[in-house]
Amino acid sequence: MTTIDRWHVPADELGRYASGAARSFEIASVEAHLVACASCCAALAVARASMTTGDSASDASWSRIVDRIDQPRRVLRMATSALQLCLASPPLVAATLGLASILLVLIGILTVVDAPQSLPVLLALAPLAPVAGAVCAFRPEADPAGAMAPATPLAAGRLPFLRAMVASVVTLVAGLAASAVAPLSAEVLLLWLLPGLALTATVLALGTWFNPTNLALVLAGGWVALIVSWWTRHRPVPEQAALADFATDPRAVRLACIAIAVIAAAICHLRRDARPNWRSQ
Amino acid sequence: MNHDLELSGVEKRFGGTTAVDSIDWTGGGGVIGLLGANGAGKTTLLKMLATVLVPDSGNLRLLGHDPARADQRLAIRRQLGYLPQQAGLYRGFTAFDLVDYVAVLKEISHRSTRRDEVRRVLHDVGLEADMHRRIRTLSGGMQRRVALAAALLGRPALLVLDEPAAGLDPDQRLRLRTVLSHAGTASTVFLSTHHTEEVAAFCRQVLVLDRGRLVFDGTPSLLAATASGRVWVDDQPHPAALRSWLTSHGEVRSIGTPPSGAQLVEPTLDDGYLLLTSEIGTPS
Repeated sequence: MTTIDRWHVPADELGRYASGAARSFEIASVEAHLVACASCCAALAVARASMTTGDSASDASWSRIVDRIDQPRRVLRMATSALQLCLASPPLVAATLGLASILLVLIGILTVVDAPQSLPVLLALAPLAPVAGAVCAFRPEADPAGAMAPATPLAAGRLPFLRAMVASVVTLVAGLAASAVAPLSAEVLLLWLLPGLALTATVLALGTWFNPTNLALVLAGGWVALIVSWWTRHRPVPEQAALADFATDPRAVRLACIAIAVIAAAICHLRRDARPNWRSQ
Repeated sequence: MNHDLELSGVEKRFGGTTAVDSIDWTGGGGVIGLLGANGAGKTTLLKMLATVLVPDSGNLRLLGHDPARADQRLAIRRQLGYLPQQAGLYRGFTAFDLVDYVAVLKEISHRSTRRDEVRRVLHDVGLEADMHRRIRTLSGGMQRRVALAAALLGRPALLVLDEPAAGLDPDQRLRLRTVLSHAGTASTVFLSTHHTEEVAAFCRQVLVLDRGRLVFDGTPSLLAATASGRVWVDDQPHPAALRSWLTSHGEVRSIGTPPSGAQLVEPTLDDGYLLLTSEIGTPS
């Protein structure tokens, strides 16, 4: 967990842990922190070395070697436990799978029907699926601990954020797979996928200031209005002509979407601890 | 004096409504009760003490840390147990799994230590026999106890409990008093309640909130004493009484300025609380 990277085990507590005098609860807390903190692992090695006599220098070196060997395993354990925590939310898992299924069905139907309206409907709705996935993660019901979660060290800050990213990515990947099977042309695929990425990243970034649910509703309304306005100007829509018109410079539009996503990711990183409670109220 | 909780000019507004209005108070240690009518601002104040909400203005320090700063907020949460008014627990988990999950969120990562701790808190709230039942099959009072057990995990230095006795039967309330009194020997337990008898039973200190303002800070006996000489019984309500109610003995108990010759009685905590809030609501 990255939430514990700024706090370090106090020296006296680390000393009790090293000497075996820590209470059971302190042991649990220290071990939870050591998994994620190389600095405290090093301090522990020093504390242990200072307690031993005789070949203490070699013990300290040995601790450092073991620490270095264990580091990749610790990272793996952290990643595994983070993913386990993300998945430990049955309501969110259900909502994400539901959204992914809706996206699969939508792409399937629109490919089979092949009507003039298929493209605008796909462009209007498909990018909103990952946005909805992200919003679900910020709902209070998404955490099994409900209203208790915001006061805990792990769930209060970055866990909802991490869950939002996982839900969005799962939905995007499902859409990507459906588009590949359908098959959709690369232009059409990018036309819904990249705006979906940009919209989701924008909700996550601006969600550090505003209520993510309200924000998503405003952005989704704006996006649908944009597609409807484009469609009403070009009915019926021959696909290639429409694509060319929708983005006079498709490359620029793609780059703009990617740039928005990157900037939003940077904002998310910088403001990851800005709110005391990430959940929609 | 214990300074676990330090509030200086703390305010919280929602739109045009001031939920908590410029509270100054410092204290901690033992069990502290917060009394107030519905809408008095108790839940908002408790959410701020639980780091879920930040004040709009004023300074708040919990366990020596500033909850407005991310790193210090985390330090507080590592020593905090919080029971919200509506916990909203996921009903598909068993009681054990739910409390175990909260233990993970509280960074108790060592599996066997965590499970021992989960069993301990479930035992403390009297749910050891029902720990493997799903939340949805438990009664409202039992669900409340599951949430309380989760709040007790890790013997937190600060316990913030929003109406912990709500939905509990008399037996369970007695057990709750024992658990919280025990917790109060080593921690600060800050709880809100509508029940003055809870406060009288085990709170060392009582605060009264009225429309967001702190209007009383003292011991339960001091709150009861504020009504000394101002409670009487009669066979009918007196027009000068601030409040009158029929008791189970068939007599009318009144608070306010007693008429001459009134039969004065010993005030209770209820009398003190009702007198205090009635006088604030009465234009002078």
